[in-house]
Formats: sequence, C-alpha cells, structure tokens
Amino acid sequence: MKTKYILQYILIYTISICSTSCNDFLDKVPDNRAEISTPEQIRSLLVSGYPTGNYAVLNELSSDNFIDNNSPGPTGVYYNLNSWDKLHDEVFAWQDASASDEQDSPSEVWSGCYKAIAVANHALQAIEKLETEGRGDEVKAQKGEALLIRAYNHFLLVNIFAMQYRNDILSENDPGIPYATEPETKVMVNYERISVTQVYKRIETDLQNGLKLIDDNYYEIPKYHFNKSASNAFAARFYLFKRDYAKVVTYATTALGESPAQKMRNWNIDYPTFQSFAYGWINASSQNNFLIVQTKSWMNRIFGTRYGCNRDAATATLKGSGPTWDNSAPCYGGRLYLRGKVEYGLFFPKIGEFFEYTDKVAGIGFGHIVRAEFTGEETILCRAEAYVYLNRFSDAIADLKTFDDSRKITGKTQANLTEGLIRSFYTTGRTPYVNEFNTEKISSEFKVSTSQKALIDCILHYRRIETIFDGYRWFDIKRYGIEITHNIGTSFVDILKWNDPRRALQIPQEVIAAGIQENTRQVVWTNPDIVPFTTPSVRIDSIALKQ
Amino acid sequence: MRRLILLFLYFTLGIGLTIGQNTQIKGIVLDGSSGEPVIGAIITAKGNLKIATITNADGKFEFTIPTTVKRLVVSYLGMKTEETSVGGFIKVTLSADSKQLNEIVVTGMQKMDKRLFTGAATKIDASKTLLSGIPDISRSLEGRVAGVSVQNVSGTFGTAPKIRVRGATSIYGNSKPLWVVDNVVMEDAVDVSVDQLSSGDAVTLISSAIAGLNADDIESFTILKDGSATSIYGARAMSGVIVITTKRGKAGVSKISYTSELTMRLKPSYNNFNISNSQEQMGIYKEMESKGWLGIARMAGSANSGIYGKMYELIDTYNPTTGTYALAQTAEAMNNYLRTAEFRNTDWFDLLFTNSIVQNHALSISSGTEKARFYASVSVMNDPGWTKASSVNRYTANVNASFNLSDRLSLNILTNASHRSQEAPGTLSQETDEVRGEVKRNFDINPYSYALNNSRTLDPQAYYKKNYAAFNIFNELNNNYINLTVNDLKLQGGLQWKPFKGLDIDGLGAIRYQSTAKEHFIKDHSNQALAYRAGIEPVDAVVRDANPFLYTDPDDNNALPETVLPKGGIYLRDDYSILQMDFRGTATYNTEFGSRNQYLLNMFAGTESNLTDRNSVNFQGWGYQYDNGGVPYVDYRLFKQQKEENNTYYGDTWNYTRSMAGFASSTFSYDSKYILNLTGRYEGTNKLGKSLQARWLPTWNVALAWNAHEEKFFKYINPVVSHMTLKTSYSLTADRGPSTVTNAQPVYRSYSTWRPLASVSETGTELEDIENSELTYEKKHEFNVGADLGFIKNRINLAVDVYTRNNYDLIGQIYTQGVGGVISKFANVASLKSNGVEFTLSSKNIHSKDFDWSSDFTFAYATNKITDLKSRNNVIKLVSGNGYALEGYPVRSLFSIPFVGLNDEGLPMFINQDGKVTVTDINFQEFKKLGFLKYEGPTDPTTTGGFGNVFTYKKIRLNIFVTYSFGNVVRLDPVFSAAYSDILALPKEFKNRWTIPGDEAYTNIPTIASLRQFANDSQIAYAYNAYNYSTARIADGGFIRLKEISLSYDFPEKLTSALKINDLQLKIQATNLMLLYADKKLNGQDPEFMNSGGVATPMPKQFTLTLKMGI
Repeated sequence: MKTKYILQYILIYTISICSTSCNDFLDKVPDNRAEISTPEQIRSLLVSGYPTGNYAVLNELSSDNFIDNNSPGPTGVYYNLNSWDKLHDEVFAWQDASASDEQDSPSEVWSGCYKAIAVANHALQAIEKLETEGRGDEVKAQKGEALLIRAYNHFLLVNIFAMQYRNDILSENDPGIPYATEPETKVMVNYERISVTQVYKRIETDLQNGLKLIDDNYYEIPKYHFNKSASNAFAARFYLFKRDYAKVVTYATTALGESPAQKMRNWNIDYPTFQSFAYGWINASSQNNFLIVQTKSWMNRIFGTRYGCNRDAATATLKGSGPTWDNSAPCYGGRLYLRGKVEYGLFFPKIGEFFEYTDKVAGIGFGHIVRAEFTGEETILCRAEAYVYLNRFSDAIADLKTFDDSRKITGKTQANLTEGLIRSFYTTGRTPYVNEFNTEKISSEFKVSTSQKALIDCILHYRRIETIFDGYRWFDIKRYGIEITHNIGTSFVDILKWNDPRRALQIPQEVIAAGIQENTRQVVWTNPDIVPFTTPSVRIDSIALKQ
Repeated sequence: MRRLILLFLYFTLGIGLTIGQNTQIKGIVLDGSSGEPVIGAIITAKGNLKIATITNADGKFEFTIPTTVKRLVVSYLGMKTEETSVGGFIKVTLSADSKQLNEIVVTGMQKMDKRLFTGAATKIDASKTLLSGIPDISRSLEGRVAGVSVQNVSGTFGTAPKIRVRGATSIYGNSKPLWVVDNVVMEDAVDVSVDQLSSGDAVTLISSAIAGLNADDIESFTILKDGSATSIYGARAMSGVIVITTKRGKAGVSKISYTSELTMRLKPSYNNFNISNSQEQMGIYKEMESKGWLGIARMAGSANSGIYGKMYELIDTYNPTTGTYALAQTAEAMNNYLRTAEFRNTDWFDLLFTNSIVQNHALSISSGTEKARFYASVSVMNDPGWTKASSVNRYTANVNASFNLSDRLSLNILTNASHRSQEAPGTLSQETDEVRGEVKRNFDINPYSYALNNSRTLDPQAYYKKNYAAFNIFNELNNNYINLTVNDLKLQGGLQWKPFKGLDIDGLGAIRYQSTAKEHFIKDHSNQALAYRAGIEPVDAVVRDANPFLYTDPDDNNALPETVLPKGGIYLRDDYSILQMDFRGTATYNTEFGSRNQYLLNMFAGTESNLTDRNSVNFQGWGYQYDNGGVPYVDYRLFKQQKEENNTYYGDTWNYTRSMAGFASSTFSYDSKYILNLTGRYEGTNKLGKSLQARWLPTWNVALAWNAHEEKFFKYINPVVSHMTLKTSYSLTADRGPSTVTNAQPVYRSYSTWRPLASVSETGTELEDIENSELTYEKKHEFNVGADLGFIKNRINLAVDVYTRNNYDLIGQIYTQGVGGVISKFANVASLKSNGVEFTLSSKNIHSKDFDWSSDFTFAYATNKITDLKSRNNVIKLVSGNGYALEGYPVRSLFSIPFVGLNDEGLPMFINQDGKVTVTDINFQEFKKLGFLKYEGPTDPTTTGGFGNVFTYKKIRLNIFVTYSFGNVVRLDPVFSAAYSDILALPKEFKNRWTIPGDEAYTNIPTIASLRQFANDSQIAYAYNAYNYSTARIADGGFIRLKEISLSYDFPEKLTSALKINDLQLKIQATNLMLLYADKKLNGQDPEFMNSGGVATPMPKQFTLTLKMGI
C-alpha cells in the first residue's frame, strides 16, 4: 500500500509541476536577440527604418536622363556595349522587369520600402503599448519619426509603382499600393491596392500627425533621420506633388529658414579625388543636406555600359547651356568623370560608390550609394515652383536666383539670374532641356498660364540638373505628363505618352505571383508610337570596362 | 536473489559444513562463445543447495562433496544453467541465454524484448565492426547498416561525416540523426549545417558530437530507422536515431584490458592525380607568356605570382657588393632560370605530408559482483599529423559504476571526460560572393589543396608572391596555424526502483559541459600579416595603391593608403561552449495474464526535460607581437577602419534551447504471435515561440508484428524457413527545422549600421525577421513494412524493409506580397516524398570445427522528390555547389549547362537560355527559362551498402570489407578560367587543349585565352565559368571501395598462460586501400571527399597494427 501512495504522490507532483512551470520553462528566448519595449529600444529600432533599396536606377533608366548608347546619335554613331545587368534593358524599354530581384531591382525597392514601413509599424505597436501604460510622453519623438518613415516610404512606393497623382477625383480610379499599418504575422497575407487618392490621404494623415512630434534633440545623428528640416522638406515635396501650393511654401520656408542661401551646397570646396568628392557630397555637416540615406546599390557600375547620361540627356543636365551659362553647367565643369569614353561613359561623383568589404581578397562586398534624399536645393526649387503657381513671380525668381548663385564658382564669370534671362532662354529653343508637358491632360483643375510657363520650364530644368542621378526627374515627368522618347538599339523608337500605363512601374513579378493586382500594360510591340529607325548609322565596337 | 543468498551462504558457512563420506572434485567453467573462463559461476549439488561453491579468477573450482551427490548444477547470470555428472576433472561450458540477453533492443529509453519489437532497427556489435586506427567511431558505420549512408566529406579528426538514415528528411534542415549515448541525447556543440560540413571551415573540427568517445569503450550501436523505432523520440527523431551503449562491468568478471593501435598513413602520390608535372606545366606557361599574360609590367603589379614573377624580381635585384643583378637580363640567363624550373618537378605531397605513426592506447578495468559492477577506462591518442600542422592529442576517461542498494533499488553513475588538443593549418571561413555566386576562402594554406593547386615548377625553398607579400608554404604553416583545445565532461546518474514485481521506475539526470577554445595564430612574419603591410613596408607605390588590405582614411581628402597593422601579427580566438542538462523519469510495467499467461502487456511512460545553452565568443587581437614577447601594438586607425567597414573585433552569442516532453508506449502481445504497439509523445520547445499551438506537438506510432514461426503450421516449412517475423508501422515523427529559422516571434537584432564615415555611424536594432505565428515543426509520416527471415536453422538471415515517407510542413521558401517587409520567406510550406528498400543478408557459408566463413551484405536504395517548393532558383544556384533544391527533383540536385563543343577560336560553346548556341551569352541570374539546363542527378547517393566477409581458421581471422555507393553525380573541380597565374598547377587535361584552329574537331578542352581575347570581350570569363559548370565537367559519383582488410591472430592459451595473461590478440588492418571502381573522369578526385581547402583532408590510406591484451 505504501508504494501505491508514493506512486500517487509522484504522479500528482509531476502533473502539478508541469502544468505551472512547463510553459515558463519554454518561454526562454532562444538566443540573445534584442527586444523592443523601452523608449530607447524603439529609438534604436528606428535607425533601421530607412530604405536600403535605391530607386534611382529604375527611375533614371525610365526617364530621359539616360540614353541608349547602342542607338545611333545625331551623327549616326552608335556603340556595341553590353548592359551591366539585363534588368537595365527591360527597364529602359519600359518592359516588365524580371531579370533580377537583387540590388536596384523593383523587388528590392518594393521590399526595401515595405521593410522600412514594417520597422515603423513594429515601433508604433511598441509605442502604443507604452501609451496605454501612460508613458506616451516618453515616446513622442519616436512616434513622430515612425510616422514620417511610414508616410515617406508609402509616398515613394505610390509614385514608383502607381500612376501619377492627378487630383482626388481622377486618382480615385487609379490603383495605388497597399497601405500597411500593422505588423505582418502570418506567412501569406493578401493585401488590397487602395486608390492613389486614398494612399495620398493616408500619407497626409501620417505626415501631419508625425510632423508635430519631430524633435531634433532626440537623434544621435540627426542628418540620417527625419529631423525637422527633412520632415518639412518632405512635406513641401508631398504638397507640391499634391498641388497644394500654399502648404508647399509654408513647409519649405520652415525647412529653409530665414536665409535659404545658407542652405545651399558650397561648390567652392576643392576635392582632389573622385572619392573625396563623393564623401563631400554626402557630408553630414554640409548645410544643404537635410536627410542622408544609405542604400545598397550598384548604380555606379552602370556608367560606361550600354545606358548612360549622354547626348541630349547630358546636354540637358551635366554639359549643356542655361540662362546664366553657356556650354557647360559651371558647377559640373571639370568635375565630370568618365568610364570608357567620353561619348558614352560620363558621370559625376554624386554617385560615388562606397564599398563595404565582406571579403577583401576576393573583392567581395556590398556597393553602397549614399543618397542626399532631401536637400536645401531641391526644397527651394519646390518653393519656387509653388510661388509660380501662386503667381508670386518675384519670390519664385528670388529662389531661383539663390539656387543659381550658389553654383557660381570662384574665378569663373557667370551672369546674375534675372526674369529677363529666364524668359528669353526658355522661350527660344527650349528642347532638349525641357520637353513639352501636358498639364491639361493631367488634371482638369490644373492650368499653366503663358506667363508661368517659362518659369516652370526653368524650374524643371534646374530640378533636372540638381537631381541628376537621384531619380526625381522621373517623378517630374510623371506629374507633368511629359512625353519622352527612348531610342532603343538600332531597331526602334518608343514614345511614352502622358497617359501611358507604363508610367506605373510594374509590380515585382514574384509579388504579382503571390496574388497582388498587377498594373495594366499595353502590348508594347504593337504600340503605334513605335516607329522604325531610319537614321543611317556607324557601329563602333568598344570595350566596356567593369570595375 | 536465490543466487545472492547462496553466495552469502558460501562466504559465511564456508565449505566445511558437510559431513559423512566426502570426495574432492575439481573443474573449470568456460564461456562457450568466447572460450574464456567464467569467474563467479555458482556450482551447487543437485538437490542440496547448501553444498555450493563458486569459480575463482581462473574459472576453476575445487571443493569437497558427499559421495551421495551424483550431479552438479552450474549457473551464472545471463547463461543457460547446465547440469553435469561428477567424476574426474569437470569441464563445463556455458552458453549465453539468448532469451535473456541477446534478443534485446536498446532504444536509449527502454530495453525491449526483440520478440515484442515492431520497429526497424539494426544493432551492431562494436567489437566486430569498429575500424582500427579510426578514432572517430561514427565513420565505422559506413556500409555496415542497410539504410545508413556515411559520406566522409572530410577525413580530418573531429569533423563529422555526413550521415543519413534513409536519406534526406528536410530541404533546408540538416537531416542529421540524433545521437543517444547511454540514454542521453548528445547535442552538437555547434550547429553545423550540411553545406558547412563540407566547407573545410575550422568550426567543422568540432562538428562531431562523439569525437570525445574512445572507440574501445563502445559496446554496441543500435540504429533506429523507422517511425516505430524512433517514435519515442517523436519530435526530434525525424532523421533517425543512433544509440550508443558503452561498456559496463559484468558481475563475476574481473578483467583488465589493454589495446594498442599503431597506424601509419600513406602520403598521397601524384601518380593518383592528373596534375601536370613541371615540364608540362612549363609548356603551358610558355603559351601563357606568348599570349601576353606573363609580361614584366603585368607581373610587377599582380597580387600573386610564381616562376615568372620571381624571375622578374631577381632581374630587378641589384647586389651592390658584387655589382651584379641576381639574374642577368639576358635571354640565356632567363632561359636557364626557366629550364631549372621546368625540370624541378617538386613533389609537394612528399614535402607536405609525413608517414608518422598514430598511436592509440586504451586501458580498461572491468569488475563486478552481484552487488556492484564497475568499468573504468583511460585512453591516449597521439597523432603527430599526416600533414604539417595537423597533430592531435586526445585523452579520455570513462567510469561506469552500478550498485544494487537493495533488491529493489539500484544506482548507476557514469562519468565521461575527454580532453583534446589539435593543431590545424590557419584558415579563415569560406565566404560566399553574393554577386557572383562563388565560394572563396582567403589565405588558404591547406597542405592537401596546396599540393594539388600549386605548380610543380616552384622551388619549395623560395618565396613567391601571394596577396602582394612574400609567401612560402612551409614558412606559412609554421607561422599561421590554429590550436584547438576541447574539454568535454559528462556526469550522469540513474536510479532504478522496483516497487513490486513488474514495475520499474527509472530516474535519470545528466549534465554535460563542453568547451572549445580555437586559437588562430597569425604571426608577425606570416604572409597573412605581411599582406596588411605590403606596399608600405617595403615602400612600393604600385602595390600600395592596389593592395586591398591597406586603409585610406575617408575623412582626409588627400589621404594615401596606409597600414593598420604596422607591427606584429593577428591573434584570433573563438570560444564555444555548450551546457546540456537532461532529466528523465520513466516507469515500465510488465504483466502477463490469461489462463496460459498468453497475454502480455508492457506499458512504458515518462517525462523529460532538456536544457541546452550554447555560447560562442570571438575575439580579434590585432597587432599582437609574437616576436616581441606578445605585447599588443594596436593602431587606432584599425578601429576607425572597422567602424567604417562595419566590423567588430569581438562578439558574444548565446543560444538557448529548452524542451519538455511526455511520452507513453504500450505493447500488447498474444501468445508471442501477434503484437500491437502504440506510442505517443507530446513535446514542446522554446524554439517555436510562445504560441501554445505551435510550440507543442503530439507525435505517434501504430505498429503490428506477426511472429509467424510461432504458428503451428510453421513446422511444415521449418527448418528450410526457420524464422519469420512480419511487421508494419505507421507513424508521425518530427523535427524542429533548420536552426536559422527562429521567427516564431519577430527577431530584432542589434547591429551597427553601415555608414560611409565613422563620424556618422550609429548602432541600431534591426528588424531581422518579421513574425511567423504559423511556424511549426517539420513533420514526417512513414509507412514501413518489414520482414525478418531465417533459413536453414537460421544459417541464412535476411532482414528486409520497405518504406514510404511523406515529409510535410518542411521549411521552404515562399514568395509573398512583401507588404509586411519581406518578399521571400522561409516557412512550413514545402513537402518531400521518399521511398526506399533496404535489406541485410547474413549467412554462415561454411561452419566447421576449424574453419568458418560468414558474410554480410547490406543494401539500401532510397529516392526522394520534392513535391512542393515554390522557390526562385537561378542558373548559378542550380549548376554550382553541392546540389540545390528544385520542385520535382531530389533534395540535392545538380544541373549542367549543355556544352556543345569548341568554336574555331578554341572557346567553349553552350546552349543558352534562349536555346541558341553561344560562347558568352549565358545569364547566370536567369530564373525563368531554366529548361535548357540538363538535369544530371542528385549529389546524395541513392544506393549504398557494404559487403563483408569474415574467414576464421582456428585462431586466425581474416576480414575483407567493401563499401559501395551509387546513384549520385559529382562536379569536377572548377579548374578552367579565362586567366591563369604562373603559380597554379593545371591538370593534365590541358595537354589536349585547343591550340590551333581545327583542333576543335578533336578536343573539348578550351584554349588558354590570350590577353587580347580577354581585353576584347569583357564577358569571356562567363564562357570559362560556364564550362566549369557544363555537361563536360560532371562525373558519376558511384564507387566501390575496399574499406578494410584485416588479419588477426589470437595467441594460443599455452602461450598466454605462460605469460600469465588471459588472452592476446594481434591484428593488422589496411583501411581505405583502394577504389575498386570509380568514374575515370574523376582522375583521382575522391568521390566522397569535398576538396574545399581550410582544414579538410581526405581519408588516408592507412595500415594499423593492433595489440589487444586481457589480464
């Protein structure tokens, strides 16, 4: 009998121990991973809330900033170069990109932006928990940054993967992108693409809620985060795209401060090497850099291959004339580099590559392009554009002059920018600096008067020069409905009409396969705008040197 | 019990109690199977238990009995009791009571009567199968057990072979069987994945969980194969279980054993490889020179150079005292120099390998009484090294003691300790180039791959150039090496309590701690240290600007490259430790009932909990001055550079595993004919998150067996068929999936962001992986049908098993919409089907008084196919490496780019993704149009087995053992390249290379591209890369290997008794003597071995002399 009792005791003991402590025992976190619960941990998490994908490659190839070197130029000369990545052929021809899901691909941009959004959403979830515990005051700045991250990344996604914002009514019919506000916890979740209008509304809400909470004192390295200037610069750009000009002026003015001239880049620093210029461009102490973002990108390697910023594209940006200069934009003069030949491999240290070695001997690692995502220059051009539409021409010209003056190089003579110079330069021989834009077709509420037009042309030209290789030109092409032409190889010319659905970059292939609604496409090869090449041509075989 | 009392009586009352007429008798008791004397056997007078004695240490007895006693009864635990008549010198031979001992299956949890066992399991006896001279016992399993494949991907001590029980069970998981040693699961000290196992990385040196076990201590292996056998381990047992039982003391046997093994390994020989000799090599260099590769200007700025680079260096070396140059710049002097090289024929194998003797000594003591049993052993293994810098010393100690506290309670204590110190050539980890999909290793000085890859024209005394710095392999091996120290300690205690008949309650507790220190010494004068100063010291502006190991300060616009290691070398240290604790309580209840006791019920239940903490710490000591008494000289720029390059000089990582399980199993048998087994287990682990749904998993098994030989009708076919058991089982077992997938909760990890400058760098927390609340165990359903058949009085035995497996919920890749932040996820979405058949045929071919011949043949065939996996695969993944997973194909499948011949320039041509013939237009990143690739086959063999024959003539035993493996393909070493250096050794295939137009009709070996061709076509490297991965560079991986020939001799009793010892055995064994069959295309490349450099070396051909002595 005694044995029986002992057995019973053991049994009861085991069951009671297990029911209470089994799950405690198994609650041990499996490794030394971090947890996100304190305000400091949330701040730390948001360091990773900036997208590491570089959308500039997709945007520049889609835009008129790049040409196909294998297509005959005005003299009939063309090259026989390999593209650095087959993806570039697809993107330049406005086809669905499927050759790569690695750096600089639509997949990388899509997941990069949504990863940043996921970081923000995880942070916001932790913030919400602290708020319910009554500790909301400790995480205000964190909340501000997280909301700005969420707004900005959706803003990028909607502008890349959807048609341009036209107005609230017209854009209600255009599919935008899914707006993510919750961390994903299941393997396969189906998302719906809400309309462009709805995406813009949500961005505006997050932006407005976040903007109030931004606090520069909270950041360790403010220039790599949504600081006050960067957040206001983003607001200015957002409202410019939304054509709410009064707000553009308000936010741009907050970002630029009392003396905008102090927020322009100092072009008189002499950099002895390409790499030192590249470092200088993204210097955090440079007054014009509002937000700096590091990306993983091979963009630098594109130069010297089949696609490049040459011929018309170069004339309109790096090497052409402007209202106050001839031949070559003074700031770029003497600072251009080339890979291969000057005829096809021109570039500028802005896209200097920073190599992160994972293996030195094999030369293996990640190429980084560091982006000056928001700058004083881009912001002042946003404000100038808003002034034009508010018919405050003198304010607009003052801003343009501030921009123009900043690019005067000591020792070189350059005229002072005046309204007269602008009007005379942009009324004659405008092409190839700025192409025709189709304001009427974009939005019924949107009209450009004759007096505004030359100024807008100037602004778009300045924006193109300023933001070369950043990818912003493509956004300008989209929002103005500018028609552009790509000569592709020796076989055909493709014209992208203002309402061509290919202006919305196709959603990444694997994402479509997972069930998301794809962008509609015309059958490209029967496009009546494609005309055969007739120019006589001379082929030059050259070596494309890869780094 | 009865015997105990007898023993007691014997000791207390003595032998003088009897009265009346007595007679003195003498005799000996021997063990029938071994012929050894039985110590402690009890001899009683039949009918009078009070008249008794026991045998002494020689098995002899002598006592006085009344003349009335006519018969004696001899008994001993575990032996059949025998009767004998009185008279003369009595010799009694006892035979083992097979019912009691032999027919037991050890599952590591419980011991089962084999007649009641329904699963597929194979037990092998260590004394018969262990290979002498191979200190890692897991390698001895090769070819021994049907369905267990052992692939020696590296032969270096401490590295684990790739072991599969019935093939792969997972796609990304490691499919490793669970090792159970003396009832406790041996956790791996570090988690080494399948690909890592063949990587040659230093961490593979501690990948074997059982390298600390002395082979001589092993009693037996039991391999549990099907779900019925393994289901008691449920959620860990998907890939099979290998149970090791170590030796323990036997009651009544006291023995001291000594084993000594002396092993000599043969050096590899160039005769077995098709490496060009120095004349052939020089011919190739001449062509390279004429094609513009070896010009003086080109060589001066190159990172690596050999003969030509050295020649130009000598031409440039001025001796001020003699006023001459080290080599005159005349055609004659240069030709002389090159001619010397041409006839040098350096034998790197001879220089880098030694024939030194490995010694292994083991001493054990075994003793026991009915009350207490004891086994203790120590062993020493000393391996001075097959190659330079590869020595090993291992010491083990093992104590196993059991004590019967009362007739109901017994206690068992086990301790196991080992210490190992090992030397290995300095190596860094393999790195994968994510851009080009190539696998590379920096500063590789593995002697084996050095001998294969370095030209035989090189002077072994001279210093050539690697990484812009002076390099000599012998200097490097002396100045750049790894010391590994492993300490392993296991303490284990068990308590058995039998409260009443039929019930056994067992408690087990074990703790194991292993710590490993890996120290990598990169001394001041090693090439690796000098590479960090090349161009600065000595000053050379060309080298300075090209050397990637120098540092250019990004904060300084005018900075020139400078060194961050101006003095000293580097001291790299990695410490790994594992703490493992296991507790288990089980109860077994056995009962028989029914009128004839024809119903038998065995019930078993228990709970266990396990805790495993793994820790790894790494540290980099830069500027350690080995030459200067070890004073560190640290340059501040190093830290600045590390900050900018996002490196850290130390790290500390922890991993915690917690698991708990409850399990129960019951077996019911009727008349020993029909057996039903039901097993269930409920397991939880912390790896699968906090969700109660995912973390807990029930697993189960249902099995039936039929002992047909117990049926009445069986007598009609007996003795032609003497034994027949049929069994079948259906089960669910599982595994935790690859250790890299841990996102049951979101994974946040601290990191330091990459930033262009140290001044703006920041630490942050990365959202490494988003939550997968659906993460769960990988699972397997298995249906097994088996038969055990015995023919002609069991002289021929056949065990056959056929199975089909459905592996589901496997971790696989899936593409999602990416809105959560991740497009490609790893989740439980894949599945895999596998089938197989395996059999073991054992026969006693000849059995006579003096001569015996027995053979064992094992055979297994297993195939698998991925039925569901939505991964995105590109060309490079499918054609390179160790095979890749693709839906519709086996788990590790290899594909090739179709090669169609050479063009009129001698460049290889292929069919590309668009179906066109091309030289360079191969898109390695292509992932849609994969149809052009040729499927070559799996890289894991489908057919494996072994064939062993043992011949015994009197005291001589000859063992010939052959293993075989078929059904897989092997990628030939990637030797072709668009550009070669003058340091490389090239294979003899190059003799037949394309040299002049028209050759393409006769040869498939591409030309050596000229510098002009290389400069003209930037894509030419694609052609050579594609050639390495083409149909021209594939071989059949099948082989038949003569694994073992051994001859042993037991010295006769006459001699041993004269020497006052019990037994003496001498054995000579040859291991891995030759491949009886292998694809000719392999040209000496071992199909089992992955030549990946680092610390990997193949299994050597070796001869072992073993001396065994029992006292």
